[in-house]
Amino acid sequence: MTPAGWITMVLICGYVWGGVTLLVWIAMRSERFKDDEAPSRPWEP
Amino acid sequence: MSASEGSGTFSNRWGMLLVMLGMAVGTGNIWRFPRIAATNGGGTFLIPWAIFLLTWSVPLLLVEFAMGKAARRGPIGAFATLIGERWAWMGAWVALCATFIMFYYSVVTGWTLRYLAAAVVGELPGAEPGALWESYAGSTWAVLTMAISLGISIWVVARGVRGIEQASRVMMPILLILVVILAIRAVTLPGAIRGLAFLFTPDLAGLGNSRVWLEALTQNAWDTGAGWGLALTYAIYMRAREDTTVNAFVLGFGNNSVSLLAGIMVLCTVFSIRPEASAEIVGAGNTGLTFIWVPQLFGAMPAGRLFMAAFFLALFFAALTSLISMVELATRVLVDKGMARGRAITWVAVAGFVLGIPSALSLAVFENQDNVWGVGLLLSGLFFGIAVLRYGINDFRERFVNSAGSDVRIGRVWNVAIWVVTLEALILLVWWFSQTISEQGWAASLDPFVPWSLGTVVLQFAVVLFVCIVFNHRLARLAEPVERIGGEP
Repeated sequence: MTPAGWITMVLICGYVWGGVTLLVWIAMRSERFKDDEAPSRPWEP
Repeated sequence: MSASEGSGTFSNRWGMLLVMLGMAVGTGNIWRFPRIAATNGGGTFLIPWAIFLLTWSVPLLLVEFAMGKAARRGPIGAFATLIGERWAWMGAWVALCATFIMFYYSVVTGWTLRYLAAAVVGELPGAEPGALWESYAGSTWAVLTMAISLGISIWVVARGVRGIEQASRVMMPILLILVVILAIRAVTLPGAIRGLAFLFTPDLAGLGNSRVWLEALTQNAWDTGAGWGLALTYAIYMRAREDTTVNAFVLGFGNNSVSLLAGIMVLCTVFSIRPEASAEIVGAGNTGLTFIWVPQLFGAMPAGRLFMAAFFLALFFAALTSLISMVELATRVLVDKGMARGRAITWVAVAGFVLGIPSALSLAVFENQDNVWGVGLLLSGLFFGIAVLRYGINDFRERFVNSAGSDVRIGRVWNVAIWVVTLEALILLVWWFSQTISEQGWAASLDPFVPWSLGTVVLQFAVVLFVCIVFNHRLARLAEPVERIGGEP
């Protein structure tokens, strides 16, 4: 494979797979600070 | 009682994302992407494909998420609620387009089920390449497998949104793990580097070819599920404080991640096992590649039967989870009209079976429907763009995208994205029409009885649009009266 092929592979795979990894990380991080619809302790007011 | 009550919501964000990913990842990722990438320059194709992920798929998914979550109705109700009852016909087009696809997609799902069974019992690859396909496609067995696939989908949808979530929680992780295993197996085959080179080596001169760009846009339009109305339907069941922006990005990038893995899996296998026939294999069409060549390729590798069964299991799960979303959309439209959910599902099951039979028995009908409603999706995407423009781009963004629970705020780039999506849909439609005429000539392209003609597309579009517009008032009459959310009176 030519250097151009390797560079394209790194860029495209990094963009797509790196992108989804980063986005899932952002989603996980923000989810920790978000209350669910249903209260986790319904017995508390 | 609100429209979403009684139907429930997804249990959490990850359940919702798995369901959405199940909707987006379908046969288009596994059998279409590798073929289209290979026949359009490999690395050259991947550059515009990566660009259109951000300029088509993600903005449209975001629009669908926002509309479904805001309106809590299917496509017809969402269009009527957001931009007015006069525009319900646009939502009806979106819903009908996806439903017509459901009629033949159940056939595709049936094919994958049949091949999964054949791979498991050792019927494949068989002595004669393509013998199974020749005897099976278009036969009554294809009707039976279609009915089984549709029946499974109906059973899942009948169990409600939590049933759909449970099914996706089982099928999607298995699918993703199988695709990763198959991709790893493919890149470790001797000579697999030729497949990687073919997929990733760019020819920058090829970027001047408009066809490469348009194929990349078409691939994004057809394999992410953006603009189909399916993400809109699932968004009805999102929690009230659920994020839209990051979720839409996760879905778009997650979907294309699977496509990229499928591309590596298929092309590395092809170039490792049959490098001399690579051009013939990737040029064999979706069904030719999957149902004739794939069994031959797997049959020639060590432990090939196991990997073949894994491939068809992944393909079956991909198709089934997408089919489930289409069944849910059709059901939801009827529920919005006031029909009880159980009765709506029965109607969808009967219509799905009866109207799926022609595509199961005739590949010409199947190809015709695939062609017509595949193009119809571009019109659906255009309608979503128009809906946002009509509502007001800034108002839509502030009210529905940057809403409570949103993880990130999206700025004015949103305005550019919506205009670009609308323009892309128009360009793609014009390009498709002009290409069909130039390839077939005026006389042949206007014949409505030729499966791939412009005439058949225009005729079927005209009939459906006519019905949608004429019955617009009745379509907009939902069980719960439509109340506009903001926007102009």
